[in-house]
Amino acid sequence: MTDLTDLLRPLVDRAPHPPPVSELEDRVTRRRRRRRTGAAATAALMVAAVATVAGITDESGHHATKVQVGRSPGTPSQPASVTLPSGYSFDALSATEDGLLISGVVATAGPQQCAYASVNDSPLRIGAVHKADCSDPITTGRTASVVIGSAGMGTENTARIATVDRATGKVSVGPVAFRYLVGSDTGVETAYGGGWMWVYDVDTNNGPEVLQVDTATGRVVDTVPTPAVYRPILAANDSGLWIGVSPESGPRPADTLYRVAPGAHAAVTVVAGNRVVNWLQTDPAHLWAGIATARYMAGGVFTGTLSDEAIWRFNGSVNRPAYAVSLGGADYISVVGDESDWLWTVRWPSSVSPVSPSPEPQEIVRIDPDTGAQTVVTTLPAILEPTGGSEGFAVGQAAVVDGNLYILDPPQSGSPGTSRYVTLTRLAAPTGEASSSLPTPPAASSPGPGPARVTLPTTATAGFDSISAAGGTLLLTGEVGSSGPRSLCDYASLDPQTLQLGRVQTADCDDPATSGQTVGLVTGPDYNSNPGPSATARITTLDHVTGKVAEGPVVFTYLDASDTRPLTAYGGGWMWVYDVETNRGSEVLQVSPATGRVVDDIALPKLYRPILAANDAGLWIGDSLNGSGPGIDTLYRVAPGSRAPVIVIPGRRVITWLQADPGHLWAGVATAPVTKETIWEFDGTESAPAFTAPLDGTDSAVIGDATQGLWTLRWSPSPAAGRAAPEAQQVIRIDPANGSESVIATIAPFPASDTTGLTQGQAAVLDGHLYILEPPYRKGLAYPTLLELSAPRP
Amino acid sequence: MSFSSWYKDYYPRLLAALTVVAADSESAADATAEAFTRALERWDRVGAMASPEGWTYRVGLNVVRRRMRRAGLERRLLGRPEPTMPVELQPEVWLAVKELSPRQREVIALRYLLGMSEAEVADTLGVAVGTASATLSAARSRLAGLLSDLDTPQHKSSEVE
Repeated sequence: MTDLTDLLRPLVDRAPHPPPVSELEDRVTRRRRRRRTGAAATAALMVAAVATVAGITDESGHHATKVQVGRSPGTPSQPASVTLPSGYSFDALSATEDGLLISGVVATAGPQQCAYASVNDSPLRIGAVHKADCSDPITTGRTASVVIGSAGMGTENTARIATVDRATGKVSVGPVAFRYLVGSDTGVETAYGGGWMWVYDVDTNNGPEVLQVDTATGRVVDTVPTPAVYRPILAANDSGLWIGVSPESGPRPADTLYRVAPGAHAAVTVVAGNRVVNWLQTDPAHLWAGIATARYMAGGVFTGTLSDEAIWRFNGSVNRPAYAVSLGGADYISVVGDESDWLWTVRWPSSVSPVSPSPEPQEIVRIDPDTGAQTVVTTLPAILEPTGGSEGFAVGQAAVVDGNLYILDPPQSGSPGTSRYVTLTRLAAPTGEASSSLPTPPAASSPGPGPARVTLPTTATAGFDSISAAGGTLLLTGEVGSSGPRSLCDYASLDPQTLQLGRVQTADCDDPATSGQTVGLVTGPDYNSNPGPSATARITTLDHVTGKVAEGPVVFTYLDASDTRPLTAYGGGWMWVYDVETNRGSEVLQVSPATGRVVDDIALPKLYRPILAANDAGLWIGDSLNGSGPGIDTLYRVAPGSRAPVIVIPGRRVITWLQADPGHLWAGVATAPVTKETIWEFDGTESAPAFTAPLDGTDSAVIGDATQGLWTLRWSPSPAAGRAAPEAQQVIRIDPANGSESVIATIAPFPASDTTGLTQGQAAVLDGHLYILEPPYRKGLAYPTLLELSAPRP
Repeated sequence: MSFSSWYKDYYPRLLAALTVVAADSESAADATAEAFTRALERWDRVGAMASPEGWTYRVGLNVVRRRMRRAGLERRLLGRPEPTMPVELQPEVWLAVKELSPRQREVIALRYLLGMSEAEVADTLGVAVGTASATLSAARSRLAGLLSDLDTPQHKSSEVE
C-alpha cells in the first residue's frame, strides 16, 4: 500500500529547475517600465481635461515656439533641464493641444490626490501645480472616462462611463457598462483616438470585449467581442482601436495584432501568428508597432527576453504593413512621436552591457517614420534603469511637442524600478548633422503579415457558415435559429479591402438577401397533403428599393424527405430550381430573378441528391456519390429555354463537385468508390470536354473561375496515409486551362476539422484573394474565424 | 532571507501544488512564474512576512482560478487542447487527481505538497478547521476509491497523513 505523499512526491522531486532569477527580474523591470499607475494615468489625462474644460493656461502665459522638424537628420541643441517640484511624484508627460503637461500624485500619506502642471517652454520651467481628486472623471481629459467601482463581491468590479459637460464642467456617471473579474492582468484598459474612447477588458461578464464610446455623450455606440488578450497594448486613431498581444499577455490568442474599426462588429487580425507587440504609437492616420519574437519558458511563461524587434507601419485602415524593418537588435518598450515630429526612443550604447552598475550615457534615437531608419542624435545619462534588457522610454516618460523631445529623468543613483523622476529635460529641435547613424535597417526577417484573419462573432445566436463573393464584395451567412417553422439567418457583408465586417442582420433564411440574391425559394408544409409528408415550394423576390420580400404562389409540391428536397443554382441570369419528387415528377424550373416568374419547366431523369451549377450555358446537374441508381447518366445540361436535358457525360460515373463561371464549367469526375478524381472542363455549350486531367486529391470542393484560377485545399500528408489529422494543409491552385496543379501556400491544419478539404460555401475567391472560413465548425456556433490568403493572379 | 535562496527552495513545491490545483501543468507553470514575479516585485514586504509561502501561494492560486474559469470556456467554444499532464506523475495517479473537485484538489495540494497542517489549510482557504478536515477526508476517500493501492482512510488513515 502507498500513501498519498509518496504518490504525489514526484511532482516535487522531479520538478523542472526554476527559471533563473534574472528572468524574473527582466519581467519585473519590463512590467515597471510599461506600467503606468492608475493614478498617474488619470492625472495625465486630467490635466488635458482641466485645460480644455476650465480653460487653464500655463502660468507665464507664454506659448511655446513651434518648430517643425524637417526630414534631414540633425543634432539637437544643448539640452535644457528643470528640477521637478518637491512634494509630488510626477511620472507622466502628455502632449495635448494646449502644450505639454506633467502629472503624478501628491506625495503625502492619506487619500491619494493627483497633481498636474503645465510646462512652460521658454524658458523651460514647470507651471503652478494643481491638485485634484484622482477619481474625478474629468481626469480622463477627453470628456469621457471609465469609473471603476467594486461590485461588492470582492472579486468583481464594475465599469461605468463618466462624461463631463464642456460648458458647465458638470460630471455625469452612467450605468454599469460591464462587470469584470479583478486580477492584475484583467484591468480595464482605455485608448483615445478618432473621436472615440475605446474601453477594453479581457474578463467582463460578456467575455473579452471592447466598447466604442462617444466621447461627447458617453454613449456606448458599439460593443465588439474580441479574442482574449491579457495585458494588451492598445492604441487608437481614425482607423479604430489597435489591440496588441504583449509579451505579458499570458495565455495568448492566436494572433499578434488586431484592429476594431469604428462601427465594426468583429476584430480583424492585422498581424497573424504568435509574435508579440512591444509598443504601439499612433497619429490620426498611421500606426507604428514594435513587433518582436518572445522567448517563453515551459508553460508559456514569458522569460522577459525579446528578439528580432521590427518596426511595422500601417497607413490608414489598410491591414497590410507599409513596411516592416528590423530595429537592429533593439528591445524598445515604447516609442513616442508622430509623422511630423518623427519617432523617438532611447537605447543602450552597443558597447555597454545593460546591467552595468554605472551605465554609460545612453543614446537618444530618432526613427524616420517613413522608413524606420534610426539615427542617434545625442546621448544623455541615465534615462534607462540600470537593470533589465529592455530599452526605450517607460510609458509616460517622454513626449514630443512641436518637434521638441521632453524626457523625465530618474535619479542617477536611484534604485531600479523607481517611478519618481527628478528632472525634466528638453531636447530642442535638431539642427546640423546627426552625431551618428545606426546601420541601415534591413527588411525584417518576417516582413510579411502572413494570412490575415478575422474573428467572426460566434455566439449561441449568431454565426456564419457560408461565404460567397458577389458584386465585388463578400457575403457571410449562417443559420442561427428559428422563428416558428422558419429558420433565421444572419448575414453581413465583409469589405475585402479592410476585412471589416458590416452590420450583422438577421432575416428569414428564405429571404433572398441572406444569400445575396434577388430571388429565392421558400418551402413550407403542405396542409393539403394526404397521405405522406409533402411540402410546398414558392418563389420569393426581393424588392431592392423597399427591401420587402414578396412570396409567390406554390410552384410545386414535393415529397419532403432528406434526399428529395429542392435545390437551387444561380447563373446565366436565371435561378434554377430542381426537385426529384414534385407533384409533376422530377423537374427543373427556370426562374426570372427580376420578377420571380417561372419561365420554363423541364422534366428530368430522377436524380437524388444531385450536384448543381449554372452559367450562361444553362443548368449543369450531376449525379453524386450519394445519388441515384441505374439508368442515370453522370452529367446533364439544361439550356435556357430548352425542352429537354442534354447528356454531357454518359455512363455510371459520379460528380464530386461542379464549379462554373459564365463561359466555363469544371467538374470533378470519379468512379465509385472514389479513390481518385479527374477534372473535366467544358467551354460554353460544348458537350465534349476541352480537357480532362487527373487530380491529386479527393473530397474537397473547388472554387474559382477562369480569371482567378481554381482553388482547393488538400491535406498534407494525404488522408490516404491514414493520419487522423494533417500536419499542414496545402492551398492548391488548379490551372483552369489545363488542370495542372501547384501548391501556392501551406497553412496550419484546421483544428478539429472533420473534413479533408473545403466544403461547399466554405471559401470564396475575390480580386486575387482566397477567403476561407476556418474550422472548427460547431453547430450553433458556425465558423469562428475567416482566413484571407493572397492568391497571385495567374 | 534572500529572494534567490527562498525562490529556489520553494519553487518545486509551489509548482507541484498549483499543478494539482489547476489539473494542468502548463497553467501551473504560468501561475507559478507569475506568483514569483510578483513576490520579487514586492520582496521588501513579502520577504518580511511571517509566511511568504502563503502569500505567494495565494497569488498563484488566484491566477490559476482565473485561468481555469476562462480555460473551460475556451475549450468548449474554441476547441482549445485539453489540459496537459505532468510527466512526473504516474498517469493513473494524475487521472485520479483530476477526478477530484477543485476544492478537494486544493486541500490535497496544501496538505500533501506544501506540508500544511489542517489548521493551516483551513486558514489558507478561509474556512473552519472542521470544514477543511471534512474536505480532506472526502478527497482521500475519493482517491482511495480510484487508486486501488492507496491506503484508505478507513484502513490506515494515519499512514496516509
